[in-house]
Amino acid sequence: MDPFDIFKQQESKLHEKPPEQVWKKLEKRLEQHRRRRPRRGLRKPELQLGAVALALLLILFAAVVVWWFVRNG
Amino acid sequence: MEEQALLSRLLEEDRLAQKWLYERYSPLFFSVCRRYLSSREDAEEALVSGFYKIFSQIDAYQNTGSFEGWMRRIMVNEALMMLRKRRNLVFPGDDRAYPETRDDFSIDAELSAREILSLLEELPPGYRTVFNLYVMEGYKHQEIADLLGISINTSKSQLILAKEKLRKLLLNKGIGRET
Repeated sequence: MDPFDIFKQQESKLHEKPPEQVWKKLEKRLEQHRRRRPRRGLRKPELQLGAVALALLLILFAAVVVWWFVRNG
Repeated sequence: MEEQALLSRLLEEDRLAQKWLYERYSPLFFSVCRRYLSSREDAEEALVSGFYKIFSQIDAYQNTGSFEGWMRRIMVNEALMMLRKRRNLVFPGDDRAYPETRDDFSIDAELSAREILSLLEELPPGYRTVFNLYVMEGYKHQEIADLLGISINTSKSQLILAKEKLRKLLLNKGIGRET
């Protein structure tokens, strides 16, 4: 056995709870991240595609309505 | 908490699930960062960055391999990035083929956490990084070479030099002995 494996075997002795301010710092970064990001649901490609398709349909519908009113006075 | 349920909640950025994961793994990952970085402040900074990446890139975890292993790799990378940022990642010596450390050596006593850390701190960052990656994380020399952008021979020589230095330190402290 490699005598230096003892370092690995005793690694658990090094486990140490970090100071409380570390979580606070992390929480602050996560909060900034959440505020910067778009809402989670719309990050899914299928939902993005759906949103684009819906917008196109609305534009098309509006165009048809305008065309119908122009045509029928 | 069951892993799949936890992952679902992490994907939803559930703060309680994030806190639960942090509470569970921060002692382990703080020790990983402390082993690579001499400064406690740098280790804390690497820990924050590592957890931030874990939470913000949770959708990159593919469920192939252990979740803990995936998180640990992120932490190791963060510690390495901090070493690079501090311009500490230098590899003294050359990459000639050094003789392997003699195996007529043993470590008798139990090492305390303070002893382990102080021994690692006495190693130059290059020796220490390769020792950590090879002995503690179980990386192969090829992986270490790719990760650090060095040759396989440099990785091997840094490990041998690290072990040689540790051997001397342990003998001087009366913790190790020739057999």
